[in-house]
Amino acid sequence: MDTLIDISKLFHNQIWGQYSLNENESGHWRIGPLQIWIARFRSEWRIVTNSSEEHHDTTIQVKVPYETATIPKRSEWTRRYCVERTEDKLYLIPALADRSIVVRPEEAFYLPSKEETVLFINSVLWCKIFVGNSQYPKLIDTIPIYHLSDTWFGPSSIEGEICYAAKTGALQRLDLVRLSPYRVITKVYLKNLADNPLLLERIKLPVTNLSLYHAENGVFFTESVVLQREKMGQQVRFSLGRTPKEGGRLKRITTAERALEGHFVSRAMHTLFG
Amino acid sequence: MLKLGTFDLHQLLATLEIFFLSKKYQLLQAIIFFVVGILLAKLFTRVVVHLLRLRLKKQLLMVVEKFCYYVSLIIVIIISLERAGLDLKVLLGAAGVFTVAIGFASQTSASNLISGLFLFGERPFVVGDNIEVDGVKGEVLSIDLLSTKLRTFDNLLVRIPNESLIKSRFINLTHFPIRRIDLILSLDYRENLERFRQILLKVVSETFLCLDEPAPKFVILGLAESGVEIRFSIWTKKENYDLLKSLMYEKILNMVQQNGLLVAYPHRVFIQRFDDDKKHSTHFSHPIEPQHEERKV
Repeated sequence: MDTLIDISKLFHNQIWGQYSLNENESGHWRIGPLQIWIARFRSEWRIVTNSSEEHHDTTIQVKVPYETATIPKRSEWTRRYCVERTEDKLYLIPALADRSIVVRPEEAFYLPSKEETVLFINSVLWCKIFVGNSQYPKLIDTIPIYHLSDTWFGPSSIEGEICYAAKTGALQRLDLVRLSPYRVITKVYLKNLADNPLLLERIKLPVTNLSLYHAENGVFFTESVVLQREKMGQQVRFSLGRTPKEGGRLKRITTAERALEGHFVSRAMHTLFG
Repeated sequence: MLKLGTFDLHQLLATLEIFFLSKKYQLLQAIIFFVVGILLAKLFTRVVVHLLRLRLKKQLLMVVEKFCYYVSLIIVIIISLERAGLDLKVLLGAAGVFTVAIGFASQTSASNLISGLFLFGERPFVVGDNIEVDGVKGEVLSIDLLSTKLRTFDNLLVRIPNESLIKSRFINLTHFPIRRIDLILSLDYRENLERFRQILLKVVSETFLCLDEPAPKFVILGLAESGVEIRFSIWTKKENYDLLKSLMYEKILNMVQQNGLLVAYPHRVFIQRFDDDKKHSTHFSHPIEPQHEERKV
């Protein structure tokens, strides 16, 4: 995988990428609803974050250097990282969520037998902050652009897992998807090979099995996902497809947290459809 | 000759050989064997635990640790007694006599031991779980052979015999990943139920600790004397149970006050009614304010 320095070069004119801060200098970044202030001291990095409830805010703002004295001093927003000696390089790199995300279609629908459809899922990115001058800078913090609430996905309250609940719905057309520099689009192919219709109210997207890609127009994508309900009815096959052609030429930013070899078949439909 | 400084190792080994083969110092030998044996038993146990610590769960590791130690200890005791010159055949003979007495005396211990084995097999809870037994809530510290130890939330140690646990009903508060919180609320009859429901749902949507699914439930339990009894159920991760329960009551109270809602509370309204000649009056009380003309006292 490319180093952070190489990845940073992809994000020209965007908020993501490499920054330099001198000692006692700070910067301010606004990524939609998230505001980040980062101050560099001799042996300390101080990170102050605040996320608003405006999930559709697309404001992007960078101010480096920033007036350190005006950084908010609320302790619940502040995290301090102490090191032996700080270096001037700082990286803001986008990343995918650390858990699966549960998405609802705009309205629940049935997928008839032997039919297939496509959905576009728009999920929020996380911001990873790396520091250091070496080829492998150190990760010091990971922040969601906005907080997603937790949700339970499973057939009952004793079987399932904790996931994030997406704030946006799954759409059938890409042109209806709200694009922004802090969201990622996943194209999902849904196929129903069983003899009866499949009711789709919720879909669990295993984001940790996906890689993150960056398009030249600044939009982020993952590889497409194929969810296929098998003929037996209760089995679901999950596999990864190629990167969507709608993204054009894409460059990979991060690899999957949990790489998937080929596909997996779940014997229980409820692990991916709810 | 093997020398360590001015010390001759061969001579030392020879001396030790004479010492341990001689019958003159049997008691001393036995004591030395016992002391060294205990140290070796502890060392052996530590080595076994270290080798297995990544392969076994905490609970089973504790059992293996105790098993290794006690078995080693028994071997050390037998060797020490033999070294002391005790004829073990006599001991075994005497043991037969004592077995009956010991059997009666250790009924409870044997029962606890067997109950402990059942607990290991059935695994209704593990070390680290929070359980409630006979009104005592606490975190399971260890599941030993004879008893289970809990640490209560105010930091007391509670020892529960395994036999009691097997026989009694207990609740494992942390077995499943999520838990439901039931908030019992009362709404004054004069208030709008739907408005109250929307306010509660808004509070939930603003609280990250609440799970989106399973969805919150708004259930009317009944029409009580002072107001409508409501159960509002929300779900959260098991580790957030106590925190969220308190937080939700606080947030609901704030929202109720901000929105000027009336919460039901036990109260009496006394009404004085005058007859036509204004000579006699009738007093009565009821919890709901009268709609027609009467003077409220």
